[in-house]
Amino acid sequence: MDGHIVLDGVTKAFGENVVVNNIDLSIGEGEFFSMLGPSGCGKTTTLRMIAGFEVPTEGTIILTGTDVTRVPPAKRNVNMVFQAYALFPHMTVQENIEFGLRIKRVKRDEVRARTAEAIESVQLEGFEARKPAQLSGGQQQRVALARALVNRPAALLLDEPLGALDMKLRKEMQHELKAIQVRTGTTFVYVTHDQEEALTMSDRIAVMNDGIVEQCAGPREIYEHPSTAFVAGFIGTSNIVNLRVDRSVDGNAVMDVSEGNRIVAKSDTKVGESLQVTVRPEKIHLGAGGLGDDASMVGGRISDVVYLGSMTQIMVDLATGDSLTVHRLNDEATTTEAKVGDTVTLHWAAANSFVIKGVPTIADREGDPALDTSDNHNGRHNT
Amino acid sequence: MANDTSTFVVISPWGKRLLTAFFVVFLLVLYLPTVLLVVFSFNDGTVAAFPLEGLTTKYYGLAFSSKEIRESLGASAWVGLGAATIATVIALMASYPLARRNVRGKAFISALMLVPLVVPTVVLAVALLLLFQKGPGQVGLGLTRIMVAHVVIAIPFAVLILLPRIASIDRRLEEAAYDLGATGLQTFRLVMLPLIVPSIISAFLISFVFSIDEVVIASFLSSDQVTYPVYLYSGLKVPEKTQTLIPVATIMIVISFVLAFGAEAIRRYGDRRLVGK
Repeated sequence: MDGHIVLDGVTKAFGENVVVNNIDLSIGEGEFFSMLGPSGCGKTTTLRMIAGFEVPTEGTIILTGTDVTRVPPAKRNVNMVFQAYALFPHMTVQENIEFGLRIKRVKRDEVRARTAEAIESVQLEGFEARKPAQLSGGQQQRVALARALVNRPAALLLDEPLGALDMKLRKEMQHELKAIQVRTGTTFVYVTHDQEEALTMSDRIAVMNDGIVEQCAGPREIYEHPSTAFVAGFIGTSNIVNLRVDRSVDGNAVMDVSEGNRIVAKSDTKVGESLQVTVRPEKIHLGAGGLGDDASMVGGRISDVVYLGSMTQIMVDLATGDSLTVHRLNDEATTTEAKVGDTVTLHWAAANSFVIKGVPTIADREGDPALDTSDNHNGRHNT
Repeated sequence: MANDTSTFVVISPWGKRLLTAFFVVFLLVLYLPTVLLVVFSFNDGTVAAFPLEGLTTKYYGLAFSSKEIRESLGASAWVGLGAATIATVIALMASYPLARRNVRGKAFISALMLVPLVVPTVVLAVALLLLFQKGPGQVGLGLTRIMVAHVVIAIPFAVLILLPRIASIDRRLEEAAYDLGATGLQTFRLVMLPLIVPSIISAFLISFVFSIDEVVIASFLSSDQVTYPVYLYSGLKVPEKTQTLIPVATIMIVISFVLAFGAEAIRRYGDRRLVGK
């Protein structure tokens, strides 16, 4: 496999507990790559294996063409930004940032020049003589970044770096991190459990769950075409609809709900079989609409209305037993108020119904060891 | 105290008076003997008793012109410095892995380190005497024996000071140092050591104070050369020596107080430094 950082069949087990299960990843040079998932999904362990703090039980890790699987962290050209920063409390900002260069015995002039450059790149001029405790959370974050970037690593590994900051600062730092990444051209490997953070900053996202990569793609692809039920549920709000194929028309699977009511998804699944389909709340529209024959159209009753400021979230119970969440922008065109108990018709384009893969039937499941192991680890999310 | 919102326990006025009285009695019991000793050290008389016969510092002069007293003080200083140094080094080497690594039998080893705290000193003294005289661990000189014995009993104190400190330092600080290219030794020297130095000094001072105070083991193990507490104890049986012993005892008390307070102040300074204030 090509790539700046390549993980090939990497598994990590602590005793009986398999935390990372046979994952393959290829991260390109200069890429902002995120690993996203709930706590205990194996994302931090994967990052620590790239950094060298954990040695994989199986598999290899290749960094810029060299096998580094068993190389200690000090000898790898990657640097880590730790959760809660791990700044040296007894050293000034300047001393913290210089640390890596001095250890490597870089010439004094160069140390000074590169430290100054790093301090400038994170906008900390004037804070050189401060101790970490005299800085705000955001400033400490910048010191941690500068301390890593000053070494010009082949990749910067970030372990939930914004977790300790408040919401407003977090948003600011998201933009700043991305700007620094673009400016320096450094490969960022970013671990987070915050889906919005991952969507905002990343070039590509690996969504992880139970030690496996559920989907690895760009933010838009992940959001709009989630390939598994887990991804659909973890990223944003998502509706999952069960679809029993009644008809197959022009490569679309159609379930007839009642006269004139149908759910349509692009799939060549045979008649009589079942699918799971996901549709995003903002893609569903209220009313009969003017969509063509291949659009989904289904009636239901409003069970809940929640005003969310810029939009309104409407829950609709369908005749099929499923329940759909609909997001409607509160723009000027939205004059009619949705009320609980109203009967409404919903519609959305066939292109917005996505068939979820990775929800195998029972027959599929028996032959698939990967799924068996991941099942065995259900309920161990908090390890 | 009913109108004092900072306390959760409501104490009646009589209860409060009782507590105050208790506290005063407690302080008197604790410090009155020490204060009396200081007072008597300036008493211009041949016996340490009331009424005082006038103010003098002549016994201070007499005490320090005595060769025996000077030698015993020198012996105490030598034993104390040696024992404190060795105990601190051993305690540091034991605490580091106990705080940082998943050592097998961690709890057992920790308990073993602290055993000298609970073994009666007399028992320990007899055991050490047997070991040094008859056993395979024969140690020649009297003072060296005492030093070795003091190392044994100072280790638990040093461990109790060092272990929690090392354990309280975020492991990620070490990982960050490794990540930036540091070796294990560099990480210890540049990151860990500066953060635990106050505790090391504190452990050293406590060990030292313990050693210069210790009389039971020192008297069992001493031969021709005695440490100051042993000299003091034997001197009290000779009435004409008593007045020259009191000034030195007073100075020892002052030194012990200063060192103990110093150790605590340094430990607190280190704590503040760790959180970076």
